[in-house]
Amino acid sequence: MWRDYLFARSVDEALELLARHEGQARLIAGGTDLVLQCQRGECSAQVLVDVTRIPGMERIDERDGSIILGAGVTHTQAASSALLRLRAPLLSEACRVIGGPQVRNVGTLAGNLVAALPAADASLALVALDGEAEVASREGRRWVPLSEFHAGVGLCRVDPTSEVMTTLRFRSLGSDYRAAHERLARRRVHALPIMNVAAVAAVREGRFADVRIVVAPVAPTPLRLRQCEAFLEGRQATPEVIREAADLAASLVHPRDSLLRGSGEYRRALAGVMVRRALERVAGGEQTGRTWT
Amino acid sequence: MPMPRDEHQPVPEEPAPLRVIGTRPPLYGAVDKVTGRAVFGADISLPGLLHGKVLRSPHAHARIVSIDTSRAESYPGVHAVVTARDLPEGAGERFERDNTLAGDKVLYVGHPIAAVAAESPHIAEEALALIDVQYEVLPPVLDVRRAMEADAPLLHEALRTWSLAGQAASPSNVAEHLQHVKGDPERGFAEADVIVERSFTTTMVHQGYIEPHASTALWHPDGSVTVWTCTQGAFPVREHLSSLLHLSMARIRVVPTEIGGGFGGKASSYVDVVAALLARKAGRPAKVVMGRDEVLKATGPTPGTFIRVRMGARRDGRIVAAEAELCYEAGAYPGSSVGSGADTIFACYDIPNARVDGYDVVVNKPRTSSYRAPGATPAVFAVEQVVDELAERLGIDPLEFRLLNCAREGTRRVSGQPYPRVGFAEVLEAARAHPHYRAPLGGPNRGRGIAFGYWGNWAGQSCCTISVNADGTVSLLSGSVDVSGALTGIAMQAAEELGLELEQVQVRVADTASIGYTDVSAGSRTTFGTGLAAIEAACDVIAQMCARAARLWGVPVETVSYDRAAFTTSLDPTKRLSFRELAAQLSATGGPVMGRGNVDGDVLRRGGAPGLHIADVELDPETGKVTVLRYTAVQDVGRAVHPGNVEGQIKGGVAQGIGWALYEGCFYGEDGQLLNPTLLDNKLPTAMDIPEVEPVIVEVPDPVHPYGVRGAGETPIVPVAGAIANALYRITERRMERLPMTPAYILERMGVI
Repeated sequence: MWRDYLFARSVDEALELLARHEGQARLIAGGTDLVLQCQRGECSAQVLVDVTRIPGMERIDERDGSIILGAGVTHTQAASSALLRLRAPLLSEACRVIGGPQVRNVGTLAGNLVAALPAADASLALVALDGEAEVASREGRRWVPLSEFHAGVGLCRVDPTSEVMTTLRFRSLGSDYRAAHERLARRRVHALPIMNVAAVAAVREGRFADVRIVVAPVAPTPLRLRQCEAFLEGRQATPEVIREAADLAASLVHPRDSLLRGSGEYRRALAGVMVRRALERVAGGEQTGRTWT
Repeated sequence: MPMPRDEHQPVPEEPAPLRVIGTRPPLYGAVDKVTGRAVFGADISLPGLLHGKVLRSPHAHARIVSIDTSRAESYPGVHAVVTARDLPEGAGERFERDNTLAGDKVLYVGHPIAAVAAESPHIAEEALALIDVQYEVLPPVLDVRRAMEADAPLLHEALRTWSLAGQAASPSNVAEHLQHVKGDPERGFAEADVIVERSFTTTMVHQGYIEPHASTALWHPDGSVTVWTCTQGAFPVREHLSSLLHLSMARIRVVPTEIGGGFGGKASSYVDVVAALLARKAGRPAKVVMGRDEVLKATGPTPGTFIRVRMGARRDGRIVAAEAELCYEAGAYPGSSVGSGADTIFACYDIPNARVDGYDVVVNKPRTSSYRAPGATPAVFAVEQVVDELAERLGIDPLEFRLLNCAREGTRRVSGQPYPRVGFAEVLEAARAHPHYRAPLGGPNRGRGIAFGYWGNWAGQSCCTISVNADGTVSLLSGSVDVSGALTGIAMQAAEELGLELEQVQVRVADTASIGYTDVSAGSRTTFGTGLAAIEAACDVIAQMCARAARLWGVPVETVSYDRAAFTTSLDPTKRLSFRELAAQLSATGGPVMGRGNVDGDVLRRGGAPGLHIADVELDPETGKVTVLRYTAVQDVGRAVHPGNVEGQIKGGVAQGIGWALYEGCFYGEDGQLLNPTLLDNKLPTAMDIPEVEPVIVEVPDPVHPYGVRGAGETPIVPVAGAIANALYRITERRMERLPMTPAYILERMGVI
């Protein structure tokens, strides 16, 4: 268990506190995963640096065609934000199905990303939205594309002992864009998904453009189906094309056998079904998430 | 409805209608629970309290070569370390002892080996890591059928199979083979026009009570001990402590706290002995609170099972033969619920020729414990699908088929006993008359299934006392702990019998030093059995008070009677004393009145409770996801003492049954590690997953109880998985041969993947 619990008042102070403890300190925001890890002895940090009181960490804005989110935005805030519900329902709906109310009230979008579980709902939506994260370190600040953010199960490209994620952003979707989220879990709430699919695309004159399809958990990180996206690019949004894309999607994923989630074969078939349903809804003009529970 | 009281009304000839029974008062203690005032197991705090933690086996099967506790003992803040060596020599039954603290072997992941008491839980946890245990790891056996094979790894070298033929000569993992035979099964099958045979497997399921086990022990200078614990039965805990500590029962006081769920799982004791050992060795009180993962890894789930059922029926719709083989995982030590599974499997039906074989089999998983109608749910899941298939093959409506074959008064069960009066047919008729049974399904990929289940309530032994207070109120002490609102039902029966309002009856759960032996609150016995004790105590109070009235009036006691809260004598119509008036005069007429009720309900030939469930489900045929749309549960409850509470029991049982059917299960890796030791991965259904359940109460009074009470709490889980499986058959045309029926399994059965 940790020895000291410190509150940073600014990003610079957080960086300073982390640096002072030379790898012995870790950032904490909602703590829904980290505190459990500490209790189980899986986190050796002696010092926790809480970033939730840094001004601006909870902002949700739209500026210059982009949605800007403070890294400390909680799932509840994202799910209930009028702006996100209007401009990025994919994200707000994804945040609505994470954990239970207590987890959503304190758990943050940044935490969802940094925990780096491949099935994480908010991460899936943010990857599908082509999001980026601003990461501050003593050396300066940089933007990391979220499609390159994850490095494996529980691993990501932010070092929580020396860096601070400050902001998330993604381009607002134009009026010709549609997004859909399909989620299947063993029960309606408090459940990691058996399969999670997010799809975003523009449909222009009946043709798909700028398609992004993310599937999880079928790999150590949320999986962008780039071959499938390329297949759809410029093609007519017809049932035949969608079915072909779904078959391609199923052939691209290699989920493991899992006693808890089902066989790999089952989940591969499921990926096809759920990609098809997401694309059907994108083609059909819906702009909402949907949870198949 | 309470009757209006007219003090001068003549005593009627007819028995008074019930005033308290059948009403829906708020449950005792409910407000304390929802406002955080109730004291649960982990809430106990004492001056100088130490915190205990348990070291548990990381292996499913291993011999313990050595245990070195010296580093943990010298760790700062540690006050005691205990192992099985701290149990008195030869204390307790071997399996009971070994499951409390392992002897020479560990038999499941999570098996307790040692415990530490320290100044804080964190220090205790750190000290656990300093205990050095050397293991010789052995291959585990995790599946019931594999464990029954001759070359399977043996858990207990000394275990020999008991059967009707006596004890076998060679060691085995099969602790018992039981058999019931009725009629001539071979001839019955020869007579059958249609025969259906299927095999089913079900996984272990944890009871999933939300409050983890917690126990606190305080030793007194005279060598006696007080133990506060969350349990379904304080007396069995006392006897467990007495046996394992070699301490007389009189020196042990067990104080039951409020209980945050049990469902049978808190009928077993896990950390009480450990807390007592730690406290004694440390010389300070010690509390042990289990973590969620400890609860899920090391406390009693229900057995996983393999069940084969074969049934035959004639073209006229009569079932003529049945046989079943039930193989139940006992976990690490013998004692699975196969006995009640075997007793329940054909319980709903009048079958002339039948054979049931049951096997109690040890495997390298935690020792199983009771779970709401122990053993019955897997058995009924199996048999109700076979019955459904017979009806389909014969072209008979499934409900009519069950009505044609249902057990009736006098029907001899396969296990031998003839039935007393039980409302099997009444329940089926109520279901047939319910609009749900004929309602349109309202969409594609929807199906309706029914299943019929029975649970043969236990009665057990119970004590109550009732003390009369000078202001006319009474204080009722119950030997039963308050599981699922039973205490209110017990008090209602006392109030009814005493002619008092429920508000005049104060009820409390007694500790083991304050009342006589009372069995666990389990087996659908509490409202019945402890209710009988409360009625007996009330009758004793009335008899004593009649004697006081007789003394006051100078009349023979035989002339005094009590009705509608008033004492009268047949010799003088002007003499009349209300309960309250007489209560005020007790100290002047011989002192306090205290009534006692101490009953053995098992001498009564008690009937059980049948239930017929109707389930509508919708299947997403591409993902395998099942949604329960509508659910109706019809049940004979004898007499609903508190109908709201009975409905709550039915809804809760159905919710747990839906969990078994679709969501829950303890999944083990090949090495015997529990893969889902969290409530995130062990998926109890939430309120979001359960449809509105409509309970339909049928009241066929049990003649052995003055108010006709039957047990109500267990039957509601029994038919659920079978009803959902039968509904899925209507959609998929496939029988579901496994629990839980996960999306992946359903698609596999459909041949989609």
